[in-house]
Amino acid sequence: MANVQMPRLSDSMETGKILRWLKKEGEEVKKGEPLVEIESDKANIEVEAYASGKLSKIVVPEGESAPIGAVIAEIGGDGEATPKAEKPAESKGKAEKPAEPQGQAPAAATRPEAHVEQADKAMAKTAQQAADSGGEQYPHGGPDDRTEVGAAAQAALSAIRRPAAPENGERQRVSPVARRLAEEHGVDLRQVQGSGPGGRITKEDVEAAAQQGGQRQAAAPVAAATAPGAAREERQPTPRPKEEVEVVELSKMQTTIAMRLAQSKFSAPHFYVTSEIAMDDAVRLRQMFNEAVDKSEAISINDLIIKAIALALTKFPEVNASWADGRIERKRDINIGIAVGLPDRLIVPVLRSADQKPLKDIAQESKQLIERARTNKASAQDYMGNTFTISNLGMYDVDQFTAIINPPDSGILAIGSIEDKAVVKDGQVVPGKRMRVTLSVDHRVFYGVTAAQFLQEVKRLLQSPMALVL
Amino acid sequence: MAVLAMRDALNQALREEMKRDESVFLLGEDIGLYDGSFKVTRGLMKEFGEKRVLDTPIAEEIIIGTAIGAAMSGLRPVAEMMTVNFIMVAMDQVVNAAAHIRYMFGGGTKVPLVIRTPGGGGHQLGAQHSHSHENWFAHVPGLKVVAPGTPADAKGMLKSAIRDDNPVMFIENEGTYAIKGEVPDGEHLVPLDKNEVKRPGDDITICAHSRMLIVAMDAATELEKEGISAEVVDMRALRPLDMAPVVESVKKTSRLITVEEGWRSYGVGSEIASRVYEEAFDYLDAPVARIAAAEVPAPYNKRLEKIAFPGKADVIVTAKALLGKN
Repeated sequence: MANVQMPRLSDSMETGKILRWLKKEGEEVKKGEPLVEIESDKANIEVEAYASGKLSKIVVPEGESAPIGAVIAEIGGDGEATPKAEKPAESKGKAEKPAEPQGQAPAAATRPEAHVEQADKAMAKTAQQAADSGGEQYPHGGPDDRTEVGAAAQAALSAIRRPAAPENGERQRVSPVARRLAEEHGVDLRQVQGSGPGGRITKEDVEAAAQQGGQRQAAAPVAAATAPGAAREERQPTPRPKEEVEVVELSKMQTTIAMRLAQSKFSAPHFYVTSEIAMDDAVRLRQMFNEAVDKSEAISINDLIIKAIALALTKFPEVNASWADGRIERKRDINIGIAVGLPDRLIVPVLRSADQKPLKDIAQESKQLIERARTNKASAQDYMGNTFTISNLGMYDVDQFTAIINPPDSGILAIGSIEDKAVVKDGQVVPGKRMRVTLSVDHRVFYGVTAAQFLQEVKRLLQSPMALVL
Repeated sequence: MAVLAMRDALNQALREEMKRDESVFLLGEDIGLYDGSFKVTRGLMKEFGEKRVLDTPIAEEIIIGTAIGAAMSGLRPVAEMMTVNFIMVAMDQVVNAAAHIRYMFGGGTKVPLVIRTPGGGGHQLGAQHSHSHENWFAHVPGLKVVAPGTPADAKGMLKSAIRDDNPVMFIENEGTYAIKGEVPDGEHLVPLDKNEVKRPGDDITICAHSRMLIVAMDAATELEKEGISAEVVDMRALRPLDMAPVVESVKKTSRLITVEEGWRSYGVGSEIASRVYEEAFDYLDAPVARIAAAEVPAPYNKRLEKIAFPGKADVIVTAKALLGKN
């Protein structure tokens, strides 16, 4: 059975008057056939039947008025007295179409009829609400009960969702705010996985990375900038033992580190050669380089040192060598280990073929290696194949120190801070920037003179650093 | 403070201003004897007489032209265009005359004119009665364009518009005349150049004006149930366009949706998006999403019409998409 309701025929209409019923009670009526003539405040309008069936009851007789939404007739009913119009419109809608229970609509968005059903439902509701509010039209000019996206949002949605994942070599997607925040927090965007459409790095991604980074700050890298005092981060204080003796169990990695270092120190006869290097030009070069390139391509003093050592090693194959059970193995490749200190471990990621890489690649790669090592994301490959190692405590305001050789290398360079010193130049005392480095050598593999000459070459390169950018 | 329907709040503003200032008069089609097509001018002819409430012929160009002349001679006309769709025949008067005269005469004369006119669809009135054209007017220097979405703002802005010495396009919406809200009694003035946050939130900003403000507010209520905090900025001041609350909001939320009932291309949302790109680019986390009417002449068919105009669902789904939640 379908109720015929007083339709809204104009925007200002509140009630309508039945002028003439075009069908009699008991007469058959087809959907779309003129059913009743109604007078609104603007015009007299013939209204069509919205359903087929017998006009079982005329509720509002000719000459009388009814508010919008009020039931004025019934089609297909048994002719019994109609309950009042308070009955919720939705249940009427269902009664109208028993064959199509709404709950069964599969994947509404894929069926064009879904919108039609919804609109029908909405219209029924409008009429009811209009009736409920005493003829006032629904406040929003129609009930806003559509739950599927309409045409209005389609364009917006496709614009938001458009980006596909970037192809190889394509520019990384970063939202403007993410880029700005990354700069503010010093987050390296290359290390951040984007969670937005097309892998776009969003604000949240950077914030999460910055937070992790913040926690990691305590675990300062041994290899970073070498400006003295640059890394005086707050050290997380280790709690003082409560008992007389507190036993600390070693992690597996700590056990390995202990074993290897003991083996190195006790089997390789170490000797040490220290040299002071004038870093004025290197510091200036770094500054000029960084002014010329994008912030993300900036280099550190550490990168210059790596490059200098790698180039020096090309001239000193005897240094780029290992002690191997009574023989010496000289290595073709020059792979520089970079010692990275963390509170609970010491790790040495390896920068391969450093002699063949331009400075900016060394900078990028070392940054990534250190970051991976710190975040525990490094692969076994990252730790393999070192032929020479550097350990840099420059950022901790260290004058000089000696390091234990990192097997299977036969040399390690310990790097102190760059200090402003009074130096004598052409008989004048002038300010100068000086850095002390100490080479630890496995005396079985090469000797003092070679060590000194190697160090001279490193020094020459750092003091005439243009060679490093070639 | 009384609770009034939008049409009654507008009526109150007109009545108060007509009482306050004898130079204020109304003209338009069916606004007198018939009380106005949407009953905004109900009772005013009875109260103020036929000389201050003029029923005009169906001749929009003449209505606006007459109003401009009256305004230039010292009166304060409030002209009604039955719908904004009908103003097309009077565009020469609105743009070439009303908007430009004060400039072309070097400030020697002014045009204190208000044109009240509703836009909006959703009533099965077809393509010639259902569009929203506020962006056309907001494009023109010399006009002020406002589009309130609450009864209180409707009253306050209409009073301000009548007192303004420049031509003001006062955009109403057929779908909002019956919405009710608290309206301050008596002297209540809302500036014509200030937009404001109607609902504070943290996760996403939704800009909307007129009826879409209500859609946006409804969407924000729904979004809150799903743990998404949306800030809704009422863009009632379209020209001059007050961007300050939007920019401030975007700096907080980094995501923006604009909602308008007119078409998308060259729309209000396009202008807002451009300004945000200029003023808050480094704060955006996603492209600005513009929700607007489908780019077709408004369909008469009720089912098509239903999906052609923006609704709550569009805003909700778009908000979630922007936040990466669907």
